[in-house]
Amino acid sequence: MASRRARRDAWLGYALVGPSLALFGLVYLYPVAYSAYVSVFQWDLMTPKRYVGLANYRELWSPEFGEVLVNTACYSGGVVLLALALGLGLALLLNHRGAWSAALQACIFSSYIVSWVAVSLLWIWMLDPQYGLVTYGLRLVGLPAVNWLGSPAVALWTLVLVTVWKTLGYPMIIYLAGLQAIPGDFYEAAALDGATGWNRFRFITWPLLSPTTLFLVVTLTIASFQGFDIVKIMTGGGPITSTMIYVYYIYEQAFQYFRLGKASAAVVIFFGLILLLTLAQWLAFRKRVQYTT
Amino acid sequence: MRRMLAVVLGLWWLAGAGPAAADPIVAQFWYSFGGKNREVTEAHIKKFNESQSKYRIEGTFQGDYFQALAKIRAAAITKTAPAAFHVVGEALPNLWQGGMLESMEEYAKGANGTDLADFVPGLTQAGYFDYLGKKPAPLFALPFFRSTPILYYNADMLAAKGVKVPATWDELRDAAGKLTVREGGDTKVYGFEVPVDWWFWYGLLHQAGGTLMSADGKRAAFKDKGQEALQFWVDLVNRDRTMKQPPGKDYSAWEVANTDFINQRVGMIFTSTAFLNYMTENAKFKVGTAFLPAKAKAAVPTGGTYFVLLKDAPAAQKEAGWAFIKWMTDPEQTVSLSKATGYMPVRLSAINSPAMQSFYKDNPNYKVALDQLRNAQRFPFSPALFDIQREVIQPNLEAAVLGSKTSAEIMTTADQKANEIIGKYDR
Amino acid sequence: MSHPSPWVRALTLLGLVVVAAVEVGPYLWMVATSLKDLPSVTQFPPSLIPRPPRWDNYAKAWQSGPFLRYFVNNVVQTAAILVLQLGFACTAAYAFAKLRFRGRDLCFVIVMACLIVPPQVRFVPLYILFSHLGLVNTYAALVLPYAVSALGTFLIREAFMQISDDIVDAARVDGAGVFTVIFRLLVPMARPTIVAFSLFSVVYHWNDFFWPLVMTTTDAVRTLPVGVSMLREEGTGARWHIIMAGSMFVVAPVLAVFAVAQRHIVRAFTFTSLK
Repeated sequence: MASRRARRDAWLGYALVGPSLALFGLVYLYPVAYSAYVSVFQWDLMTPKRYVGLANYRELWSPEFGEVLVNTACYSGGVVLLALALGLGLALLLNHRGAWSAALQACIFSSYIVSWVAVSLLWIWMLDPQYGLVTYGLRLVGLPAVNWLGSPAVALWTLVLVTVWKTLGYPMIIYLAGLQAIPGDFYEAAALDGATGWNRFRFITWPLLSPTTLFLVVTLTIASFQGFDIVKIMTGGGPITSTMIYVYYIYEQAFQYFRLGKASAAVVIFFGLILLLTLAQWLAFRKRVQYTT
Repeated sequence: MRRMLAVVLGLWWLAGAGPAAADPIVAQFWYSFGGKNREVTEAHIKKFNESQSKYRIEGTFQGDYFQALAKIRAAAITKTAPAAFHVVGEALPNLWQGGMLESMEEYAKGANGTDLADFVPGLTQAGYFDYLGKKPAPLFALPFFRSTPILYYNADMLAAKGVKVPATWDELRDAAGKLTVREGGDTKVYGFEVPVDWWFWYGLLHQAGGTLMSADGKRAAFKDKGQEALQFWVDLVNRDRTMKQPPGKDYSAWEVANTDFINQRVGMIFTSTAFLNYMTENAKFKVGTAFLPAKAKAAVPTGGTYFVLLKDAPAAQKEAGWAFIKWMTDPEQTVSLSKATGYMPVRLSAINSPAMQSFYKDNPNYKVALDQLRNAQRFPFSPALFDIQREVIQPNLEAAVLGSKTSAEIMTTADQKANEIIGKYDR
Repeated sequence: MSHPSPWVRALTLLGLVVVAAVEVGPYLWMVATSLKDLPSVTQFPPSLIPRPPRWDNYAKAWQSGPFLRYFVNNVVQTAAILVLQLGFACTAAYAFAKLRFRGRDLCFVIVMACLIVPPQVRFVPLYILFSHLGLVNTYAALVLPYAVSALGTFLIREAFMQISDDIVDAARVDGAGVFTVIFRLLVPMARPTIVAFSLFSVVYHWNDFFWPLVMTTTDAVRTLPVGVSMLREEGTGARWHIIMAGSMFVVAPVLAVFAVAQRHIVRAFTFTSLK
């Protein structure tokens, strides 16, 4: 009886997963395989492909590409950490019913739903080191003007800040929901035991929020890895290559320089790197994750 | 009675069975600009379609230049590319050599031909390219929206400070110094601003007496004079501190320069003549225009886009595309396009017409770009041109201005990379 | 937060107001710009309230292209993508979370690998493929490439894994069919995750500019963000006031939906606990 059920389960499993996998294969993996194929050619999308073996990969073994990897890691890391921390902070502070709380939440969330284009243009003006609003504000407080988008040392962090500004509403909303799902009894019991605010956070709030945090870390990391619009509009990967991140680098190689072979090789390398990282992480944490079964 | 009816019906059927009024041949025109240019183009497409019934052109927006180029190439692979589109001059040799473009020689001489001699020489394909001692390529491009960079200056500001309009590099440095206004550590007004961009650098290169490639196109030749050009900017930004480098890449930087000029944050800028309408309408001061300053000589690049036909499109669509392109470059249309946008008219007869002549008399600023054409510099007809612009020069200029590399280092590396690319195409 | 001093409370409130102002300020600026005329847009110091407000900017933006069609296309595209994503993700997640079959974990890793393939990488091969199939300029080109979501599958699997197997077994013993188990039993229990993911998907695809632009060559199935991008002009000077007016058309529907749905979203989270 059990083995018949097990076999039926297996068959069911394939049936349920099959269509998804087929589509994933077609619309996600086929392009990656295509990139792997193109990566050993030199191709400008127009003239016939020319086989060059691993030349594209050798060309990518360069400080420029290394910088792209570092930039991407910094950008993603910065965005995820800041957005998470600020989102959680805001959620904790706004976790009250009330009209003013709802109004503030709405304000903060409004920037999340606007498109990147409108927002990026605005920020370019506001960050102008000569007369932008931000520069004006800094001068009022006696601070010197900063060349936010024009200085290689600062530009990437400027993009991080603008991205955090824009996406802050999302983790805030999700954390708010997570907080409101924590039963009040826990806090009452803790209060009876005389726990301080910080301890309450550390031993009740934070652990009970961990699924929410995991959810947000994954979502925000994926979203930031695919960051493109903000770079395209605000800096074009510059100044010099200080804001060149993964997706923009591939876009530039493929559609500004028409070096599809090199772009494809970059795709394969990134894909491989992330796959390795994911595999490593999964193997490491496999034993530690526990689910209520 | 019935027989007569049959005869009438028969005759009627015969009359209708003759060559029926054919459906118009439909062809696509892909373009890559939005805003005002798009409106003007779409209006003209509509007018073209209404002016005749043989062809119908459908125009669609395809993103910016590079997205459009990518889509055209991808579409060419699957044989769904449009019959006609427009493309920047620097990309033409590459596309021609890649076999994508259709020759227009036969069309131009044919029944629905056009008077090639009437085109403004500096704006045509023949006037744009230096064929490097080889046989010139056949006609495959007609000018669409063409422009040159000019010097815009705030006439009120210059008059107030008693500054003369600069005609040489030294005078430009001088003027920029006099126009810059500083308050404590901040610069309230810059004397000069220009995007640190391939197009303007190309102008400076030639003003300094240099060229991009050797006369036979086999080697890069810009190292020394290109460095002089770049160093001019470096000095203005970092030593004199009278020039602002607008932040952002490509057109974002151009927009910053335009906005700064309108807001009187800068006294003089270099930018395209195409913005003249925009500046005049939005500036609250008198806008002056002048030639780009000279050094060893007066020189200016031209820019903008050309109409081209796609070789792989079906013959009927190409015919329709040609009819559209020819019509768009006819004197009447080039006048209306020019007046609506600020780009230059491409036909001599249009420029010499009483309408345009009186327009220029009332708006002398518009004539500057046209007059400046006598200093127009050619581009080498080499497939390496596009790569050199996009990969070798454009992304690397700003490093000098930002101080992370010297202009000498940049030009040496650029020279090397350019020669590699030329070698790649020569194979 | 028991008995914070009034100073702390006041400061906290001030901080929150500042944050809210910073978040919503540029957005209000966008609204203000959409009502100005061009010289006012570029002037500095900038004026906050346009006098008189130029409502005709909205008319100009709307009439610059077939905006009604763009709007309908945008709704169809976003809704179709969401429905398909949830359908595929829930069924696949059930299989990954609750069923055992050979190769299950390998299949899941394959799905995970799809997480980092951005649209810029998928464009050329999919364009060529869809073009050969004659599907360019159709809804299929916009929707199919996003019909499955690796992120959604991952998140919903996580949510399902937190639901006790016993509940599922009991239901199946009672004779419940697969889809009943998934959509009537598990999905309601995973509502917070599903709502959170849906929010993310809707905002992303509603505002998506790149994919609807590159997979279409005519206006037939284009969406609002593409329409708004046509207002941008690089050659002869940007008309910001019209661009911002156009952008408002993209933002307004999402704002409206969110305003209406906010209460439901909050309720989705509080009814069942995010254990």
